[in-house]
Amino acid sequence: MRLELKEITFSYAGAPSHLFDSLSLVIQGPGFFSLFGLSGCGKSTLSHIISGMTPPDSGEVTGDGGIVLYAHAGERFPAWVSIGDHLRRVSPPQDFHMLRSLMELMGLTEVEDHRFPDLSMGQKNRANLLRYLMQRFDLLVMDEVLANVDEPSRERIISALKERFPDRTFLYVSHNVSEVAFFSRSIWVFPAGEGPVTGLVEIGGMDGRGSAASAGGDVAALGHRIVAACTGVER
Amino acid sequence: MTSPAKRILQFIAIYCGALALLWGAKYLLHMSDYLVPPPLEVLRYATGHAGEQFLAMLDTARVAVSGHLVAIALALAVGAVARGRGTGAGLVRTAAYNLQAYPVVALAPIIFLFLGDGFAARLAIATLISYFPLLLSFIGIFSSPVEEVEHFFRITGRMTARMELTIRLLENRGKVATVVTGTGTLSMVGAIVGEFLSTSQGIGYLIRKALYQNDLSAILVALLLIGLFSSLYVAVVEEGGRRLLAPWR
Repeated sequence: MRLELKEITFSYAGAPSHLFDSLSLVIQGPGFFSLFGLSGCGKSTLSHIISGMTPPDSGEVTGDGGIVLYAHAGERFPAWVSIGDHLRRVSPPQDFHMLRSLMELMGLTEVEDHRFPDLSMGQKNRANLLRYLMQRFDLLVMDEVLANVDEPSRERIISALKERFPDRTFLYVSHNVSEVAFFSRSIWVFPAGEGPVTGLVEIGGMDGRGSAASAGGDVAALGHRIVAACTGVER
Repeated sequence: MTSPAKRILQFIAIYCGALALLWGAKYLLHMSDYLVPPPLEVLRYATGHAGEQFLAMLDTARVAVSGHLVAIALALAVGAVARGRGTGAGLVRTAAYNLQAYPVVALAPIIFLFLGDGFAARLAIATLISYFPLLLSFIGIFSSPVEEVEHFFRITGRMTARMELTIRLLENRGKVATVVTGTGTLSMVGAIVGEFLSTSQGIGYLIRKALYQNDLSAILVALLLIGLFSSLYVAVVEEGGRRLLAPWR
């Protein structure tokens, strides 16, 4: 999967200045990548542009024709079916064994008869991510999709994603610096500063090599670089 | 206490209060029995004409419930068409907004001309009166995306018109239940207005007859029956909606 953003300029209607000005980015998959930045810096807007949901004012998004999906933490299932029924309805029948296995991974087997409103916030996030994993896609943009999931479960899920879907591309939007540092092949950081974003700082991540515990020191050092890039403050 | 019983008791309390005020005014202002009949006369009328009035009320209720059901089905269908962005949908919306500005009594002569003064005309008026509020609500509901639910279906190419309508209807089930319940009484009003204007059936016709005979006793008993039936119907619709939607809270 290759996706290229060329000279993207974008501003919201009525905003005094551009949010992005001639921003370019190349995502060369497969692999696990991250977008990182402070709240309100434009991560979700850029994710929408990458997914084709929001057209830029100028510039273009080109790719090799792969399927791009965008998932976010605020999504809900239809309330009139159980989550198990909904997941089966939106999954290809030939992949039901994978569905079963992912439900176990996500810890949803025991609540498959529940309706979405009855789930905890974390279960809702996991169920939503799961239904996207059952779709055909080449790039999945995950905009804080695991925001309400506890840290050990998040790490387990991301590790499993990388292992089970090695031929897919994931773009993870998160505020968790050590998570993006450890799991990502590359992290694109929204840089510090006023005015439009003209480029992202690319920092190589650890791509999940080693265990999070053993790589603790490296993760911390990498985390400092990422934070420094987005705040402009060295620690 | 169940919802129907509660509603009926509330109505009876209000009705009795209104009667007390009427008779209070009668005796305070020395109004004639011809203008405001005394309680015993009303009671005598009620016992003597209970069967006739009850059957007329049943007939009116049949028209009102049928009109309400037709109005719901029609408003759902037209609302679904009018939710789009095309010229046709825009035209339907404009027509709906313009038509609802006409009072039904102004349209009633046309209805009686074409449908006569039987069941069909009463049904048409009952339908029209409850149809427009339903339609305006359904247009609003069907035109408002529920992004948190619809996004997945849209981005994965699974969205169909039926799915979109189902999502918007069920996600707005509270609003739907409110407008369906509220228009139940409007439908009753429509049926009675139709009967009052130009038919020889139903409780509306008996009220017209009583008006020509200056018979307030008949009107008071008719009002009691109308209130009881309306309260019961609204309560049944409310309870039905609650049970139907209970699984989705």
